Amino acid sequence: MRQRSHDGTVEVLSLKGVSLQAHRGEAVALVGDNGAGKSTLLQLAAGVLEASAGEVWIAGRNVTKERRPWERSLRAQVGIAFQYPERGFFAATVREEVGFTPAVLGGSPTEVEEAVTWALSLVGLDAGYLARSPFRLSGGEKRRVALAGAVAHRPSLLLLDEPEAGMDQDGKRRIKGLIERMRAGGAAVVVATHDVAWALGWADRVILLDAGRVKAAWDVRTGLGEEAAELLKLYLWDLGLLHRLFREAVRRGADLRHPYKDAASFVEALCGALRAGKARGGESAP
Amino acid sequence: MKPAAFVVEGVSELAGSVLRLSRVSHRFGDGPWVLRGFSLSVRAGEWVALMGRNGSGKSTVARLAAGLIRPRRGQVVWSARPAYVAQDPQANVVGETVAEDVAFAAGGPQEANAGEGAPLPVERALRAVGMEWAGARPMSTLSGGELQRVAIAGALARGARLLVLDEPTSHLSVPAARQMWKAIETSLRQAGVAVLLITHRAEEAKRADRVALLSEGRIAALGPARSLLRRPELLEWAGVAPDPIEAIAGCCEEMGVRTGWPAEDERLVAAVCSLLETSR
Repeated sequence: MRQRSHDGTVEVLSLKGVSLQAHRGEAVALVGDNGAGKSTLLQLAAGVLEASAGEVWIAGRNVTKERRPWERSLRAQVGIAFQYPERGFFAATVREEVGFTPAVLGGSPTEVEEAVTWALSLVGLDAGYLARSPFRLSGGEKRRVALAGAVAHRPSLLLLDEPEAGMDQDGKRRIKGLIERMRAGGAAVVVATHDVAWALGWADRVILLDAGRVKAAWDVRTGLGEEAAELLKLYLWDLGLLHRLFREAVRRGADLRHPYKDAASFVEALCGALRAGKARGGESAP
Repeated sequence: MKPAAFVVEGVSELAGSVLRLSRVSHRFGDGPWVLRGFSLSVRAGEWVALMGRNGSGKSTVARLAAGLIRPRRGQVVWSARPAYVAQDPQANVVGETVAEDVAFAAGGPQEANAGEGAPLPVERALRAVGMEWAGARPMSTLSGGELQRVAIAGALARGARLLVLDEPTSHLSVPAARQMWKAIETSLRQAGVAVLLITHRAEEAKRADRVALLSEGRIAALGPARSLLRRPELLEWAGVAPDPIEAIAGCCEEMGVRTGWPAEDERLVAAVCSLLETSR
């Protein structure tokens, strides 16, 4: 796909011949530096931007040249949350905010209410929030309401642009839960993110974009090798060092799992091994 | 934007602090209390990282510390002008070109502020953040990390002695965030600019002298970065993801093997190896 964006004087190609497929029941993480083309790719997939070359297919249908990309049938298929989705709030209550798309798609009041309740439960908000103003919530709660709004109509393609930005650890766990639930329900989920460590915890595949091109793609389910460690080390704080510690510790007989998937468990296991070593060393010393 | 009447100068109780929040409580409208009796001082040139869950009150502290809002109860005093850099790089943009943006930030109403460093001219400020090449560039062509650096240059040009950075790298990739810190850290340290850094990234908080953990509107823990960031269970409790490297370093230290601060790669690897060797 090619896409041109104007910045006043220069025409910039933000994506160059990128191909990406996301299958039902699959979660894909898009990573890469700022400006690598992650957001552009999501906007093309959502039909918000039109590609200057190439095609976009959603659910077996070529939607590249559809005049109104947000027409009902496509809208029903796609759920999207842009960066800072809470900035798009417009409704007076959480109920209306989250229920907007299901209502536009023609759901009956009962169906809309069910959709809203379901979506809120997915992000861990109870019925007490229904009548509240979305504008009066905390930053984390706003984000959750916005995400609920993106999934309330149960899209088969869910696109999230940096949903984890500014979220604390609990918030990230919750978004991970949302991604996993949507995937389990058969949706394809594509997430642009800067937090590679977090993404490795849920992604089936990771795609590294660099200057508008796919630099590398990995299937996380089959494991990540040295090449991934090398390429991703830039994008993940201290991954290179963690990888080294893992190798050295395993060489010395420690029973450890690779730190990619879950760094916290790795730390716990390694510290356990260190303490055990000290305890045993202490016994045999005298 | 300017903190107006409640900049207090030469107050003896400030004693070496650029900022002091004393028993501050705050809420928005008739909503729940976001801060409850919060106190914190930032000394001249000191870097303090403020961490905690979403909703713990971090951003409210940042806005109070920058003088953007006034507390309902308690007192906020400064001995120098604060400057605020928002999380969203776009939110900090005021000018069309980089030089205009910085000049505009510098040209705001400048009251005589005894004890402040002389405001840096635009060019010097840009050099301090490694953006001297960008003066003529339109702001719209800059990356997120570059926009944040320009915002910081604006604060320096205004003569700010206290930078309030509200999650400045949340929307930056790791390389972009590293590049931003690399560009600004030394010059800010050399200029003696104090920093109040709001962040979720423990790796980033390592740059601070002290770390404060915020929980439910109060300080739950406050101490040197080197000791607090090595207590993963405490960080987890406060909703902060620990830095795995420092967690391992803390564990080595507990076993009596030092690895430096922040942990040095080679010393850490050697420490882990030797501790595991003793068990064989």
